[in-house]
Amino acid sequence: MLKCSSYLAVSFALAWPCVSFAQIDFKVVDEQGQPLNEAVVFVKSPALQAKSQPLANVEMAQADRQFIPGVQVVTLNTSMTFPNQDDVRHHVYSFSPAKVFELELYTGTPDTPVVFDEVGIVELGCNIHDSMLAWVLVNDTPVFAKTNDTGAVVFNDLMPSAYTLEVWHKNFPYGAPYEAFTVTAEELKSTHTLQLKTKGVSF
Amino acid sequence: MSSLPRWMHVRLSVRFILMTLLLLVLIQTVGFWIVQGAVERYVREDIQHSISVSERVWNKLIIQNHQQLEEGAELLASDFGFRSAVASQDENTIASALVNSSHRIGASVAILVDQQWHLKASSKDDMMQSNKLAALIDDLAKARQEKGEEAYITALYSGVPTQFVVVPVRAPRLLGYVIMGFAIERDMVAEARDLSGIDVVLMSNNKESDVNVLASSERLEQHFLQDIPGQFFLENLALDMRVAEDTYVSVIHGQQVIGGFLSLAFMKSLEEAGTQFDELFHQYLVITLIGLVVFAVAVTWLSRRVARPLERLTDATGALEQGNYDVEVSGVRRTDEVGELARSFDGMRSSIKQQQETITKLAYNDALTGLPNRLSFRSKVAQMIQSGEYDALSVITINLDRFKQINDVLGYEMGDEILKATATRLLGESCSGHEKLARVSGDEFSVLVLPNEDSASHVASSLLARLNQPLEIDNNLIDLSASIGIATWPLDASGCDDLINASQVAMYTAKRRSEDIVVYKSDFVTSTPESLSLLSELRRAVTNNELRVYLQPKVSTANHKVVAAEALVRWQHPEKGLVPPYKFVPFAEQTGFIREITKWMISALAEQWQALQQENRLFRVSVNLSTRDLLSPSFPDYVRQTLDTFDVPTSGVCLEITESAIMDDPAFAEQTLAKLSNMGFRLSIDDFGTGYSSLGYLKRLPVNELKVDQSFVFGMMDDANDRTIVQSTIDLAHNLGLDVVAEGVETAEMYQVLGELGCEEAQGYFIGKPMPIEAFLTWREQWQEEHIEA
Repeated sequence: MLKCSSYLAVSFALAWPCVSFAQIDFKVVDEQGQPLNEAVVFVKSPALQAKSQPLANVEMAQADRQFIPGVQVVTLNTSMTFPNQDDVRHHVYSFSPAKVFELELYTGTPDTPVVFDEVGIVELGCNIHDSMLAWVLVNDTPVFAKTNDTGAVVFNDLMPSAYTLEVWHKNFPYGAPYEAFTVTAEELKSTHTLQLKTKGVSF
Repeated sequence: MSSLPRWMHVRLSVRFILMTLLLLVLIQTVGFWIVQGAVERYVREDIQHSISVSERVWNKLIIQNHQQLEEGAELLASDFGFRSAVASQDENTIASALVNSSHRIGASVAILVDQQWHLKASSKDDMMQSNKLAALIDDLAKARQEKGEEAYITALYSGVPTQFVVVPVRAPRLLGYVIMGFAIERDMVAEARDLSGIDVVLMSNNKESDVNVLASSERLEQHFLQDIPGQFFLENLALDMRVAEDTYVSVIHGQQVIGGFLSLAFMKSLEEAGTQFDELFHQYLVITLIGLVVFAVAVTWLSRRVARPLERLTDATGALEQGNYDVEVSGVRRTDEVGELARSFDGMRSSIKQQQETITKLAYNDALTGLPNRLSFRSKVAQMIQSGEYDALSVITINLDRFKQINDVLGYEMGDEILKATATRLLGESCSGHEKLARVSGDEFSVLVLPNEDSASHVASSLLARLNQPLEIDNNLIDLSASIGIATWPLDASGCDDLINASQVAMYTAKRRSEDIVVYKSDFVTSTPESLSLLSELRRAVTNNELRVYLQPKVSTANHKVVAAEALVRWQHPEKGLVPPYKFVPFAEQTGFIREITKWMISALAEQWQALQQENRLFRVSVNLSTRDLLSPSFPDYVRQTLDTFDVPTSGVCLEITESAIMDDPAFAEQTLAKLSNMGFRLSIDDFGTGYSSLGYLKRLPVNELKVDQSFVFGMMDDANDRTIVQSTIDLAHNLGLDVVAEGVETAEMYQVLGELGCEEAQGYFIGKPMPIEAFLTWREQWQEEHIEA
């Protein structure tokens, strides 16, 4: 819900000064050409990156020994809280280079939020509960969306331009970076297929 | 028996003992074999069982180790610091963490690889660039892929069998793997051995043929270091293995592992396994030895108990063998089998004793009269002579006259009665008690007369008087007479046998002289040695042809023709000259040699018979037959054969038999005469009138003529009685259809009278004396010329 609302907010903010918007369709497929569901696609351009602002009130809660949500997409320098809604303590950690941190055994919400000040993929774990897994995707663009069941994602209110696309999927192996694509979208409506090369995506 | 080993010939008791002990040893040996076999089977089964236990123990140890190592590795992999270090990608830190962890949990090597099994860090710096390590990691990755995450992976690492565990490192997702290797140490092998009692040997052989042996015993390690058969690494085997004089039951598992080959051997020494049974065998041996001793003693005692009485019985039978039947056999009161044997022995002894007495009685006594026999009498006489108590002894020998005739006429039963009665009569005389009287042969009795009694002659007289009294048996009154001879020791004989012989000679003399009592004189026996040589001389005479045939003519009183001749035997002795018949014929009769002489005569006559024949008429030749000839069954056949050889008809031969010869065995004589008569011989009764033949008997005989005894012919001229006898005999013969021949015709008057009386033929010196055949032929010519008118 949170993710969806921020996406809408960004869209409207972008749409406002523009007169004509292009519709850009993407289809994300794996190495074998199969559509990938729930892949996260970031659209980046210098203009968009300039507009990137830290998000407010972003949290990664823990309930029923699971991170909620499993994937949290944030813009650079977003502060994030880790409220523990379980009656057991958690020890949240990340060894990811984008943000190495450790919230030692705690209950409730730790006083200091974690600021994600580097673009990258942060894998979260709990040292107490090995099954707990979540990702925080940090990027310096406000435009991003998730593919549907057919691997498709549509951006309506982008100016026709050249864009850098960065794609992530949770099947990416540990430590793998975003996979980047360059797309030129001059027409008002264009469709692009992004075929991932990162190992370990296919099932 | 001779084929038996020598020891088998020893005493029964020793054999019994030896056989029993041998049997015991045999049984114990067989038992020992069986027990040993069972023990060996048991030991083997036990070893097999122990080996399978050991295999399970080993597997359990491997699993335990694996789990322990896995836990250690997992602990490391989940350590936050370690994960932190791994995540930090700081190779030095990671390597030191690996070293630290491997030391902590005792791993020989620890390696970190990423998700793609790329080597990231190792506890051993120097290995980082090793191809071997990369290959090992590849193999481990493959093995893990093939066998699953829980697989127990064993590999050769630096030539050492090593258990590897692979655990993932997560942060929180899979970062890579920690691979840890744990060398299998000697203590594991030792522990397996301690737990199961089975020797365990772990052998490895990497691809460079570096051999590594871990054994639970030094001996086995040395053995396998020297040589390991290749197949040990390739196959599963079960075999017996010889290791330094010892046999090991072995089960071997060979397998290929990462980096080479492994062979795991489970072994157990048979000797060692059998040790616990050594005591059993020891006890068995001791029991066997004790059993042998006990058996030896018991069997010896038992066999003594059996053999002793047997030995005593043997002694007793020895005594019986010696002729001692008086000692009772010992042990007859025992109730066992030996007692039974002893009783039967004793029964045998008393029975033999009884029989011996009977035999003795039979041997020394005459069954018919109950008197001592010749043997007994002889030994008594010998005993008396040897005793030296007497300076003179006399023996009286009594022989019943005419006993043979009595037997023949009245029968043997009557004869026996007479003998018994005689014995009774003789016993009745005080001078001839039971101990002095004996029946020495059929009708002969002997009496021993001691010097202090009546004189022998006196005794003899009284005995004779007693015997001469008529005897009445079954209403038959029988007159007995006897001939008695007396001889005295040392006057007439030097010893016992001579004494008895002398009295017999005296008795024979009495018989010959028809005297009652004759006292022995040395003259009587002079002929005896001569007689002995006579027989051999006679034999020689027959073989050397010293005998001669003389013929005495018989002339028909009717026409004075020489119608026949009597053949008489003469002996032309080379030294003594012509021996007259009376000097050897009676002797030949007595010894039976007369049969040979008769045969010779018949043979000689048959040869000459044709020469004696005249024209127109048969010239008969007579031959005298003796009793012996008549009693010889083969005689008739012999005569016929001989005559056939020379083509002599039986009618040309007349056989003369004396009346007494016939009367010796009238029945058989009659049979033989009938046979001869049937063959065609002319038969003549010689010396008729001197015997006792009854007319009835005579009538039955198939004879053709009678020869009147010359004693009657001699007396005929002077004595009217004799003339009457001759006349009666001639008449009687004629009435019976017989011809009559007169012997001893010495004068012309006699010849004439005989012719008048009707006697058919005459023979005697008046006509011609016996002469050789040539002389006879000449004489016959002359006689016929003189007396027969042409």
